[in-house]
Amino acid sequence: MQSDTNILIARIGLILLGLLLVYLGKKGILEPLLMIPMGLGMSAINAGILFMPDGTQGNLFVDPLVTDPVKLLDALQINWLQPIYTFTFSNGLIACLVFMGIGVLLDVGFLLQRPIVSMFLALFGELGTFATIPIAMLMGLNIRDAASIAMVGGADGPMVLFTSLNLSKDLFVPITVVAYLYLGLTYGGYPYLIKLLVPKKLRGIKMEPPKKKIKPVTSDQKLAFAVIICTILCLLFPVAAPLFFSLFIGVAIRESGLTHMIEFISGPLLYGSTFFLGLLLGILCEAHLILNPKILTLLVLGIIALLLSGIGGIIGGYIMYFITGKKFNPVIGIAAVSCVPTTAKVAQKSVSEVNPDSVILPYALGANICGVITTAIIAGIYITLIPFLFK
Amino acid sequence: MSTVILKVLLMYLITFIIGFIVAFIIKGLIFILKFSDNKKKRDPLYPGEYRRLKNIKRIRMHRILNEINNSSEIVNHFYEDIKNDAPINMDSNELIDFYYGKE
Repeated sequence: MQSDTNILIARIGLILLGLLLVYLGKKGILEPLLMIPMGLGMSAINAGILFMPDGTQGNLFVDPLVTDPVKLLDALQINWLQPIYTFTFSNGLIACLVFMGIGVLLDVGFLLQRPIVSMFLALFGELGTFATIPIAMLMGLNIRDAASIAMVGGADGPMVLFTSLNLSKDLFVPITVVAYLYLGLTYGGYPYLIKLLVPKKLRGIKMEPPKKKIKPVTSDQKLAFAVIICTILCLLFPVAAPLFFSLFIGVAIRESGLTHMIEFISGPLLYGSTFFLGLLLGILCEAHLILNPKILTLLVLGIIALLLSGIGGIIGGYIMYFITGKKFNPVIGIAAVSCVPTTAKVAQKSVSEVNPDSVILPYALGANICGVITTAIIAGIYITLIPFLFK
Repeated sequence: MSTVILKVLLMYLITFIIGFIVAFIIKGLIFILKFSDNKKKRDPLYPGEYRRLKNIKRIRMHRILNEINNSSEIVNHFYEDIKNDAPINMDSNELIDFYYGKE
């Protein structure tokens, strides 16, 4: 139980942190779509504390810890964000809606043109998602918490939320907050990692055009891919079926050419879900909830997971470089970390600085999009196998 | 800790296997879809059908010219060219109906 003084200091700190997040979002250093509602929510919830009739401190925003059905009904009528939290956040619906929007924005053509290479790089780009687990356990977390924080290495916010809701309900708020904070930093941090690990000469490698002209992938082919892969992955991992379905329904809608539906999902649905996701994450950063002794551990592990994933991606790039007889640009590997399309843009920018004629974006986007699928596969594997393997 | 590392490596290996299975399914799917697209173009009926549609278009154009110029010579000239495409023993009026449809 935290003392009142600690809670007071934490509240003041979180109010200031919230204001800082709004500032960083406005400046574009962190993603403004998330940081502005999150930052303001964080400040508001820690400032808007009142004494409830029973003498305890509370708020009129949300009570995430209430489980008793009678008390939940009361909370739904009193706390203005409780319905959105209970019916969209705590059951993972909001993560699925965001994923649907991501699916509509994805052009899987880049993946379908080079599936083997893209998958190879994406699998190496998931190194952090696995390597962080033993490190987290050494730092005192149990297997479920370790797997949840390790998912940050997949660089996919909805996936982290979904996995931590299933495996680590007590820590899902700080884990998801850490994930979204750090994902915004990949744009700033990964270029330095590339410069550190890939020499200038290799960064400037120009990808030769393929010997056989690659025909563009048609909408029919993309739709068939979405339908078949969705069915297979749902069959393999039914616990992660909502995530797979959400992603591939978005892809299917995009390829079906239903313009109004595409506009709705990529517009109001995606932006609405993202807005409420950021808002709820900020609101859940109330001092009582967020002041967990493990928070510092989670902050460190989040960085480790993203760092190891970036290193893993570049290792994959180097392996391809040697397999192809030094013709493959190793920087493409960083795009396998599935922060779409940030890491693909980071890769192209790093290459263009050295050789403006080198265009690696098609390869990078293929790996990037494949990374989303591999992260979803890993979420399914964790939710399915961890309770089974680690009894 | 060693058992944890082994189990994590096992999960990574499963991910690799599933990932490559998905990649090969994608490759196979694209191959099948491209094959079926090409098969349609290689269908023996396809060139004949294409020629027939082209002839219909030509006849329509010359019928319009014929009405304008009030001359049947141009139309008959083209009928001589395409007569072999239609069943034998059709006269010119039947040829028009065959390619153009009854008015």
